[in-house]
Amino acid sequence: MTTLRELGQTSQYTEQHLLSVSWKLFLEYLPGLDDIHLLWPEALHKERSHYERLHMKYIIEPSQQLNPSSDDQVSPIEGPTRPISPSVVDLSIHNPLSLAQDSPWQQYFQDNELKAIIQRDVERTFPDQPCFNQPDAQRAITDILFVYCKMHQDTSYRQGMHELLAPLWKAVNEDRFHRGTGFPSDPVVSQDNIIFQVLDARYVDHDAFALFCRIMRVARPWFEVSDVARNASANLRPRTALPGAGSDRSAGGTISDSLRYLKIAELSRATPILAKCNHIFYSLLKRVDPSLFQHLESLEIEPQLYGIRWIRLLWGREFPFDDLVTLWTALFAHDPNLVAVEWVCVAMLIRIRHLLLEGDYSTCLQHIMRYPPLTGPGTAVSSPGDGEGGPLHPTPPATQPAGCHIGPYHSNQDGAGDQPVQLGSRFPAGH
Amino acid sequence: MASYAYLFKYIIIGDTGVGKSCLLLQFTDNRFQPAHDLTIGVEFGARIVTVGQKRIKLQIWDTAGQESFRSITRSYYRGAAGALLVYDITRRDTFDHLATWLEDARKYSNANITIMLIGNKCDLEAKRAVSREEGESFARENGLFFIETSAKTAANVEEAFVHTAADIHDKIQAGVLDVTNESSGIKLGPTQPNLSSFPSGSAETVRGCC
Repeated sequence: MTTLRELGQTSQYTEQHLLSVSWKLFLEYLPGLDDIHLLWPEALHKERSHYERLHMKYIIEPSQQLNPSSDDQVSPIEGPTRPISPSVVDLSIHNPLSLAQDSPWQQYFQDNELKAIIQRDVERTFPDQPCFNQPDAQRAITDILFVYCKMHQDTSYRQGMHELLAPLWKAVNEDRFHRGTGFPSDPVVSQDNIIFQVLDARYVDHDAFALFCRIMRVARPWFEVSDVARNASANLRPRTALPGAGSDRSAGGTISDSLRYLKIAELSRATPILAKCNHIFYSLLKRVDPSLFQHLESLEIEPQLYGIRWIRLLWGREFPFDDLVTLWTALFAHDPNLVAVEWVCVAMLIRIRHLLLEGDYSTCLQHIMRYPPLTGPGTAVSSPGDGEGGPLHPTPPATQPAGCHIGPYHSNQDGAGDQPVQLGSRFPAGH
Repeated sequence: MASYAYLFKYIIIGDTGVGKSCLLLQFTDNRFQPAHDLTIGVEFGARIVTVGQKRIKLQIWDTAGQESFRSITRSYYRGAAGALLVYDITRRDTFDHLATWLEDARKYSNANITIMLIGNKCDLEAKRAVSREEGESFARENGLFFIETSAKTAANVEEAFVHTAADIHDKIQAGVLDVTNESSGIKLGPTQPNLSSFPSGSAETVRGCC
């Protein structure tokens, strides 16, 4: 498995391996490569039954829960949630016209509003990828997000989640295998058909949900905006909380620097995505590339301006879809807890450092927020082999240790951008 | 670098899907993207316009409709000279939410901010759910400018941005806005305007600063 994870961090990997199976392994949905004929079916059954139950609980119309034989959505997996028997139900409550608080229909109609909100965003998922225009894909992605939101009602649905889920669903869907299409259809677990169980077309949504949940274990805080943060920001009114020399003129001295920084710290603590952006910029970039840090800081380009999108979408807007898949594979292969996220962000800044160092405020924002394309054979990641030193080597970028690296970026100007930015394969744990 | 007399900072706010990013794209790039990516966090655009023979650079921040962005980015509401408050004339709910957006804009922005209310998607007349009169009435009651636009056909898009700039420029001329106070959302450009056109108090401040 270690070897496979190392391979996963190379640029050629995604062309040569079943993507969805790799992601299932890297994200630890499938429990490693030992004893797969025993352990994989167990894991698959557990996860798929889980989604099946949730789907039945949250998605299926109350009438179908009562009378499952009226349609074809009968669970193919045995689970503890069985359809409710009509004989034990009070039909005066259990009907669509009931105004009773505990009528399942009341909740159903409320849920439809949330589902409509999700659906509207899902229709705008990766417009350049035709597969997401298909009604079936949109329905599946909406359902999975809806189920996830019902499970996590404190966070509920936040824009951007759909773009974390969509590539996962696409990978699973493209590798799906239909039983009886030229391969053994015998469901008995055997060495011959384990991979077909993994790829079973009936469980595309189930598996995408399982992968999404694994990503969201790490990513959910990135979507949280707490009430504390809202209150803290209210105290950071424009006239009183302007960072930087230029702004101090207008601050009017109504709030001291120390108090201001205290407020910012409070805001960061309350909003994990802010804390992460600040850590990347004020801690990691400052150590790795002090001159770039100073330049961006002097321009007052706040890291969250670009960091929120980079991190929430795991760079879904920064790279073409194929490069994105390669980058995600390397990220998942490196560590299922995605600890490399911060370092990829640092590497992305350093990769365009020569453009940034020459730029004023507007130019820098243009480069950072419309990230220059990767060029050359290569790609989003590559592995130069074993390296030395730690990822925090003070001299960027050529002397960084081996592992993932982003690059190369070919500059038309001075060639300085040809230098790939490397990141260590042994990142320290995330912030 | 293109020279300009002033830089004005704008923000674009309003519900998700009303066409904020499409308005910005039409204004900065003269094109329409029917299936626009959802804005995550914030987007940024810039363009130079001419108002009263002065070149003015508009630096425009466009945010996610779902996000209460003020709570995570200080610099977003920090000093905006203009706000484009957008709703979709085909979706009643986006009009109904205007009061909440306006409250935010008033609460977190400069007191002298110029706000342009925009009823977007006016090319979809057959699907109209909010009448022009309702939009005008809301704007009048709240002291906003009002215009209906189509990011798709580009109708009135230029006007929406430029009229807002003209009003901000008028406020500078009248001494209502202090160009040396960055929280006003205005900066002097690399080429300075004729300082003699300022009321004396402001002109002094400008000289002192630069």
